[in-house]
Amino acid sequence: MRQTVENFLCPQIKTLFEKSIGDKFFNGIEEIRMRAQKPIIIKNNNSKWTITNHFTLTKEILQGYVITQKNLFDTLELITNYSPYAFENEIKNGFITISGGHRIGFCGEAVIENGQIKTIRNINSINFRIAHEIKNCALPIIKFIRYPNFMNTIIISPPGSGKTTMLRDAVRLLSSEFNISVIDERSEIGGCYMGIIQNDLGLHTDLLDSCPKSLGMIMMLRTMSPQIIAVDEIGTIDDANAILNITSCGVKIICTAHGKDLNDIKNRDEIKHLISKKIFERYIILDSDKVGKIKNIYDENLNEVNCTC
Amino acid sequence: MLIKIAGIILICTSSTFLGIYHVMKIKFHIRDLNLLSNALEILKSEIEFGITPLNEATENISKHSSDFIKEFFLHMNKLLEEKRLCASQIWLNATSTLNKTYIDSQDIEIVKSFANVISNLDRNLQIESLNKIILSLQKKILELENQYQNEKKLYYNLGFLLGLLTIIIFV
Repeated sequence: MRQTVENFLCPQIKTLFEKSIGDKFFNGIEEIRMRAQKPIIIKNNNSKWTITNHFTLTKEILQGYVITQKNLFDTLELITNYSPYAFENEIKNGFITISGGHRIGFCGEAVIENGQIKTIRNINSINFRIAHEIKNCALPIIKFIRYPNFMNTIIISPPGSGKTTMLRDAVRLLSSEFNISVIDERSEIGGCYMGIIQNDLGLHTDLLDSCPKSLGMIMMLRTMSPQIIAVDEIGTIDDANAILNITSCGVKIICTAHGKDLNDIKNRDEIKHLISKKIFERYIILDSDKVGKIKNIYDENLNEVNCTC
Repeated sequence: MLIKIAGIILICTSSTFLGIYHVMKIKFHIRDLNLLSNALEILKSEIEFGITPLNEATENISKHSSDFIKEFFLHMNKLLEEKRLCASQIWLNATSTLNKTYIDSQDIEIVKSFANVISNLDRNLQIESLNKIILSLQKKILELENQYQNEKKLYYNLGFLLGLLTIIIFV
């Protein structure tokens, strides 16, 4: 993992990493943030670190190596394999997935054409989000969603609380028994790179990468005859309609949504409709304070399911 | 006497060859410019239609070409895979392989200009830049072809006549 990530850092930053960070620390890195004219920030196990010009790791962020525009430019060249034109769509969407399933987000000046983002230029910030597969993290929820039959499930939590990681592992675990189709609009579940799924999604999983969820769900329903469809972060009416469509065809759904708790999502138009139709049979609410911890589980009538996890 | 005749033949032949070489230099220059222009045309297509990353594009072109074009794109591919230099430096470095050809420094300067936009986010800018370079090279080819037609006979004859003059003066 270390070599994969370091290969995408510009030579100057790469040297800083090589000389100051051990393998153990590197394996715990969640994010590497590079902002122009600001110190480099490394997020490791929820704490923020920086590297000084003297190759030492410190929590005193202001002492950190200050990222230059050239560092960002050189890093972007490496990320895009010296060919930004080949990543036009990814840059437009603001992120690129690299081998290993790690995601690199960009920020800069958006160029607008006909009301749509054409590209992002003058990149001033790059964020490496290091993918961590946590195998078996979904084991505690499997018994609540799997038996007697698989139940339509939605995993709810605020950003950064482990929804996608849990969904990914749930897909992997369920894949031993079911044919699963994953629609990975933002390449977060499978971390697809050059068409190859980088994360372990199990033996019986088909993945449609970079496709809008609503279109992908219908496409997979018609083409791959899945028993379960998995999508991350539903958020539009189109997504909700597609879920209605596939569930009415007898295909099960497992998905995630942003939200603090059940009340939070009850008021959202796209989900309200699905709740009233009792589409979801299990609502898994994750704890916002502790990543990956299950807070509550509710059934289709929004009654709490007794879970001692 | 025999030595004199041999000397006369030698002088005449070598001066004629000098004339021919001068003309052939223009022809080789045209050939090399044509090869380079075609290769850049393929590179443009790889960027425009294939949206192929540079490392793959350079590998593809080097596979299907020969001579100095192969060397140019192989060298570039090697530098791209090494990931030590930035894209513009890689392009400039690769153009140094053109020094060994009949392409002159003026043409090389034109080719070098692509380094300014090679890693630009806007694909159209790269395509436009390549178009301009190809157009400049084509213009140069036309000029050289005219020059070749005009100077071909002149230099052939001039070479021979120079030899003849040398013989008259010395013999």
